[in-house]
Amino acid sequence: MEELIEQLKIQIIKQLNLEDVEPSEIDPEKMLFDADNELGLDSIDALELIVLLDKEYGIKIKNQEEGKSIFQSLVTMAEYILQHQK
Amino acid sequence: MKKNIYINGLGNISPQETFYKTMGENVAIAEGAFFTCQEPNYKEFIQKKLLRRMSRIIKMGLATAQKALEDAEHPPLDAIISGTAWGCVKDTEKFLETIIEHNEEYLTPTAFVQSTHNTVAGQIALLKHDNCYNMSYVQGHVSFESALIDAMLLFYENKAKNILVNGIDEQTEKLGILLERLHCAKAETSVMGEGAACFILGTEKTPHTYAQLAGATMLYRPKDKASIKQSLQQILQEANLSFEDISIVLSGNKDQSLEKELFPEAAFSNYKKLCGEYPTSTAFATAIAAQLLKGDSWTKTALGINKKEEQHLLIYNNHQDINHSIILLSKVDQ
Amino acid sequence: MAKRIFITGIGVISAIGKNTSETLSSIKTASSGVGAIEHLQTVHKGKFPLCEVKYDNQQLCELAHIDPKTSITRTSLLGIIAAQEAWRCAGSPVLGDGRTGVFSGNTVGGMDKTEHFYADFMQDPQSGDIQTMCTHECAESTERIADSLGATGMVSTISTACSSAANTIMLGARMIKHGLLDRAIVGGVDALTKFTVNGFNVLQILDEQYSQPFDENRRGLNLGEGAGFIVLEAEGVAKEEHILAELVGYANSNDAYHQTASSPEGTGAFLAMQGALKVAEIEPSQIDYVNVHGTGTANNDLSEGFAMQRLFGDNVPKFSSTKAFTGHTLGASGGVEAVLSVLALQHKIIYPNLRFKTPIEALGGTMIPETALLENQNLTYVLSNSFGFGGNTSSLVFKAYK
Repeated sequence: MEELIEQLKIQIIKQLNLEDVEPSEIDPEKMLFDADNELGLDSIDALELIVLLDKEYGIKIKNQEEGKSIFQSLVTMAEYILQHQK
Repeated sequence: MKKNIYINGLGNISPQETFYKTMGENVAIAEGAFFTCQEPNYKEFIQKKLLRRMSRIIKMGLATAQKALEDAEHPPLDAIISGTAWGCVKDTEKFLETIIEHNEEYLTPTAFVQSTHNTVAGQIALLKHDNCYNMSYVQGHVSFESALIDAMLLFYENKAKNILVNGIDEQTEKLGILLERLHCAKAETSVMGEGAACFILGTEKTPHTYAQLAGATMLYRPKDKASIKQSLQQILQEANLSFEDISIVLSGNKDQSLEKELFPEAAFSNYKKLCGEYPTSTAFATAIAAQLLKGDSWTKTALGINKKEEQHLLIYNNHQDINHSIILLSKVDQ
Repeated sequence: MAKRIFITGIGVISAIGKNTSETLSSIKTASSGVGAIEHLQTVHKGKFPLCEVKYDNQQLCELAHIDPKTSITRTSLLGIIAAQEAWRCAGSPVLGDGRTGVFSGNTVGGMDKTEHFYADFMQDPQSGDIQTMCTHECAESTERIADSLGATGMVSTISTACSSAANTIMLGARMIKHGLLDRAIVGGVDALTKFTVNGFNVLQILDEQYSQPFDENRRGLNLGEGAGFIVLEAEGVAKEEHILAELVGYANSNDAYHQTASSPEGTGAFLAMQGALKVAEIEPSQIDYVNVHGTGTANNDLSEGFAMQRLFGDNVPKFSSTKAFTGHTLGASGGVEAVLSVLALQHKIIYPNLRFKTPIEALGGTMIPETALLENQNLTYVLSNSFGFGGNTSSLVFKAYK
């Protein structure tokens, strides 16, 4: 799980082009799409994460609605991947 | 109802050192077939959070917009009008390549969203939270002129006091290969450039006004030289000027015989030696012309112009005898 | 500057017909143009429907009277066909006098050909027919249209996503009012491409079924292609016998909310509609029919609905989305719908909003579009909306010419 989270951090930084953000700066428990979150992610990033899950883990998410609960935090993402990865 | 229009602020990213100051004494010369921009530190102008998603052309558009607004002391905008021919090349390439490489899978929404030609104008509106009139012109070598004309009409309609207008085109490595294959890009004889020039136009003169935009027009497939002359005459007449009043001509043409015939006493310069050939190069010409008219001597030197008089300046570009651009600028008394 | 602007010609090609007559027939028989993908080569064939123009490029060349060996994009072909119909409808006026404008809106230019070239280019940067890149830019199809009509004067292209064509109509009118032109051929064109189909798919706003604009259970839009052009002529230039309608109002605004989504309250939409009514110098209550943008996406229909309620209060006029017939033709949509607006005024009809079942709850359940074709309508003013990515919102007001 820990390893997956670290891997996800690197992949998210790349997919979302989060320049100057170090993996250590991303809190795995923090709500990713919260307005308070310094990462400043929005609905287009949510779509990018859907692409990431498909490309890297073979998991297809149908729509943004489904994605909402999955992308709450890195932890929820990792849990979902472990459950559904092909 | 016609009214006077002034260039009150500008921001210019070009192959010359034009962003942080006016031309300066170091004139950059193209090496090879491509002339690329000297870019500022974008972090000074755009929040890191927003910067990360932006491709180069968006950064260029936003930085020059911020600079121009700062220059004009942040007037409230009534319109944002952009001119670009090539559009958002990098994002278009990225999306297209992913479609082809991955057979229409794993596509990145960001690249698609940012590939649309109105992205820069849209992003400027977003940054300023501005609901004002917003337009993007994509008519090749008269994209910038289309934007200028639209702005002028808005002023005459009393719908605006301050308008942001830009002319912007970016090069990429792949675009470069295509331009070479099309024989558009060739070292020394046909150098391709790029740039982003942004202006704040207003109906009121300010202590920072650069110049007056005295007229602008574009012609599509004019019948012959006589009809080009007629259009030039008309635009001069509307500005209460004659051919003899033009002291400087900035031409983008290799063959300047028509201009030289009509303006025998004027000083001439081909501005493209400073910026290369690209569809919105007349925006660059307008920016440096505005600085020249405000009294910047380095610009004059860079253009190789010795003439003392600089009251009225004409920019003329003829692209393949299809699209012609004419922009008229006048010095403003401060 | 108080010149009236008349519409003297209309031309359209879309999934529901190659000209105005076929378009009207399709509408009268409630025959939508949506269906399985036939022409576009994409892996998505069979996955979701599109509204394709029912002719391949060879057939389009024949319709446009162009040699099929010509290197020409589908975009240009569609544009030429519609623009030529509009021009003939206007009495085939001579356009080479330097006083005609041709303004066209489109979003991806010649991408229909470019995307094929690019596949070769990616394998080997020196391969593929490089001349294809000469047809890539948005302006190219506009110039082909202008050249096919012999128009000289001013030519320009606007690319503001789905509001592109509406903006060209506004530009043409303003140019005429300022005395720069006597006449303008305005509208828009877009061809279906893998680029746009995949782009909209990755944004998850495509409907895998046939779209249901303004329905509570709408799932997204069906992409379409086509072209719609109208001829605008100044009062004094327009010949009485050719006048079909009058353009009385137009406005442009920007939502400034998000790159692709509309603000929940539909600020840009409201400002565009309100602005157009202001130019027309009429009250909201005078609008008899609204041809809504109505793409069928969760976001657009809701925000457009709110904007309409804000503008019209309790008296929202009859409205419908014709995109259930034509699909969303992107850069062409404002032009296609301008043609439909003029046809509505001419024939005194209001179009049905196909496949509507349930009103949107969040709008109070009261926004119910017309579901049957209405005839013998007393129409004076029609409002047409076009809202696009980048927050670009535009609205037009057309008036019946009696």
